[in-house]
Amino acid sequence: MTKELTPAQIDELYAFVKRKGVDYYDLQLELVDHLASEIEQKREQHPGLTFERALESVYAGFGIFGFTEVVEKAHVAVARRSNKLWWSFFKQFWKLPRLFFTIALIGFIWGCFLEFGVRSVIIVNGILVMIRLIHKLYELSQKRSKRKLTPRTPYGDSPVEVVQSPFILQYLYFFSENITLPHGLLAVAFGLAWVSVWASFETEAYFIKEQKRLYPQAFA
Amino acid sequence: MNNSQLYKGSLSLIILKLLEENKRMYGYEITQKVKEQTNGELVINEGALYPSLHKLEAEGLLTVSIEHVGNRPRKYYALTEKGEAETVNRLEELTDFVKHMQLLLNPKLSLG
Repeated sequence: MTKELTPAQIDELYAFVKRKGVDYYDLQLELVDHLASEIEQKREQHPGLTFERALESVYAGFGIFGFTEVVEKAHVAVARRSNKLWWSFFKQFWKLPRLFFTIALIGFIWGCFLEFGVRSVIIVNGILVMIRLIHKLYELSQKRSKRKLTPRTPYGDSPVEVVQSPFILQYLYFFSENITLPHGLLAVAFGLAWVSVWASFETEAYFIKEQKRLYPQAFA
Repeated sequence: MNNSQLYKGSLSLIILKLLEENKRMYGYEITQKVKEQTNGELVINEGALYPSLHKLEAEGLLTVSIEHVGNRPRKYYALTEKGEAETVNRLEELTDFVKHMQLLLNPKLSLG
C-alpha cells in the first residue's frame, strides 16, 4: 500500500523547492508532485527509509544542476508560447472578418492626418499610450497574489511591454515639423502599432484565463 | 537517461508516443512508464523531462490540466490535435530513418 505523505510533508516539499530557486507556483506545483510521488514509491519499497533521505536521493535524480535548468527552460518555453499566441492573434487582423476593421482603422488614421495634421495625431497617440500605461499599472497594483506564476516575458510583467510599438512611434513627435513621409505610410505604421497592442491585450487575456483555470490558488 | 545524443533527441518522441497510448499522463508517471517498458534499461533524467514537456506545450503539441490527487494538485499532459498529427509524422520519420540506417549499416541486406 502506498504510504501517502502528510500535508506537513507536502508543505516541507514546497519550502524545499523554493529554497532551490523555484520561485513560480506553476513549477512548484509540478515539481512538488514529482518529488512526492517518487518519495512515496521509494518508501514503499524501503519501509525504513526516512522522508529526508528519500528526498535527498530523489533530488539527486535531477542531476547536478538540480531545478535550475528546469526553471530556465520553463521561462523560455512560456515566452515562446506567448510569442506564438501573439502572432496568431496578430495574424487574425489580416484575415476576414477582422481585415475590414484593420483597413477601417488605417483609413481613419489617414483621414485624421489629412484633417488635423501629423502633430495632432501624434499627441492623441501619446494620450492613448498614457491611458493604457496607467491602466496597466493599475492592473498590476491590483493583482498582488502571494503565488507568482512564470512570467511571459524575460523581464517579468513590464507595463511598457504592452504599449511598445505606439510608444516608440511617439518619438516621431520630436520630428513632427519636418516629417516628409507620405501620410498613408504613417497611417499604416500607427495602425500596425495599435493592432499589435490589441494582439498583446488578447494574448494577456488568454493567458490570465488559462492561469485562472489551472492555478486558481495563485489568484486567491 | 543514456547520455548519447541519440537518446536525447528522442525524448520528445518518447513523450509523444506515450501520450498517444495513454491519453494523459503526469511527469513522474512518464519516467516510470519508460523504465517499465524498457525493463529498467532506459532511465529518463527528470532534469531533461520537464523542459521537454514544457517545450512541447509551448509548441502547441500538448495541453495541460490540473487535478487534485490525494493531498496535492497534479499536472496532467495530453496531446492536442496538432500533437496527434505531429506524433504520426515524427514516428514515420523515425521509421524511415531506421530503415535507411539499416540499409547503410547492413549492406548485405541490400544485396539480397
